[in-house]
Amino acid sequence: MPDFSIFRNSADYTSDPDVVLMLEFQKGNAASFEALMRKYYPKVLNFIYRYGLTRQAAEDLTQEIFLKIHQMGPGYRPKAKFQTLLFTIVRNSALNAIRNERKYAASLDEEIESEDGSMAQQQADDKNYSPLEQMLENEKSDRIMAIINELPENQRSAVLLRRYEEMSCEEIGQSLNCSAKAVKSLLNRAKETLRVKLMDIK
Amino acid sequence: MECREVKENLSAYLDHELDPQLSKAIQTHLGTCPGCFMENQQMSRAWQMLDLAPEIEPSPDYVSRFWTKASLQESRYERLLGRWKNLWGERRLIPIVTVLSLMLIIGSTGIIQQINMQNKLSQIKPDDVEMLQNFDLAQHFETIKDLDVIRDLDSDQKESTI
Repeated sequence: MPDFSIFRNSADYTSDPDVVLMLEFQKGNAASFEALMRKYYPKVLNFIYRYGLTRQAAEDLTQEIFLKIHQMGPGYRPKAKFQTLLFTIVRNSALNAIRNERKYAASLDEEIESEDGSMAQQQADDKNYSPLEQMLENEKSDRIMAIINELPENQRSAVLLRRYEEMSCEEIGQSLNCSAKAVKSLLNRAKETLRVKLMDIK
Repeated sequence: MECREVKENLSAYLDHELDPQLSKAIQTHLGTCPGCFMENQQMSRAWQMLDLAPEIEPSPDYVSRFWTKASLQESRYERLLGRWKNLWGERRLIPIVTVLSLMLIIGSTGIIQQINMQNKLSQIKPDDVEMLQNFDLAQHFETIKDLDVIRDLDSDQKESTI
């Protein structure tokens, strides 16, 4: 039996501050949309990046997603929490991008250009590591990223939404179009895989 | 509690999503089963290690880039909408559209008739085709039939005399 509880009337979600911002944007307040974007842009970007796209592809896709949300403004009806709606779009977009062969393996040596023009590694370095320690930390983080990318897509989505967005199983179920019970099963299997694969990493 | 049941619920146990009774039962089991205890520790550690996955910062100009694209998108949309309105407002296009529609209807009717004709032709038997091809003969069918009878009678007579 499909779960129709997600199709509640809009009044149930006006307690969500993000829904309020979206409704204000609908009335013409561009600053409300910008506030939403500033809050969720880094989260969306990192979700897509951890999902398996390159940094550039993740940036481009994040921009596209927010343009899509922006276009939705006039016809927006709050039928779920804003975060749930957003990550439904994000996850589907990332999945389509990967299926359309826009996925490139994020290389260990892939570098980004920092503000002073010099090249720096992908991993943000806000700790005082020695060069050797930094190299080992980067290897570890790349290995973890690779293990996440090896998970089946549904399990990967569930892990990313649970671990980094702290969404509930019900909310994840709405995004993945499955039941909360199915999400728990996905998470159980994913965690078991992660347990085995990360066991040897110190 | 069996190890299998504990393992099925380990993820929810770590997330503190189990009802108190089940959670307590698992906790008791973990205190007495080294295997499940180890798995619980490893799973918890693996989950924490996900903090080490790379995290990237957005490019510094992502907001301005977005608004530039949004305004271009709106301009493009307004231009398309304007063109559509202009097209629909052009009175001289009405007779052209009418003629094209009539041609489409007539053409469709012709195609349907053609298809029906082909269906009927496919139902004609070879004997009927031969009959049609020899229409003149068909008109004199009775005469031909009589001649055939006479010919048969004649051949019978010849055989009997031999």
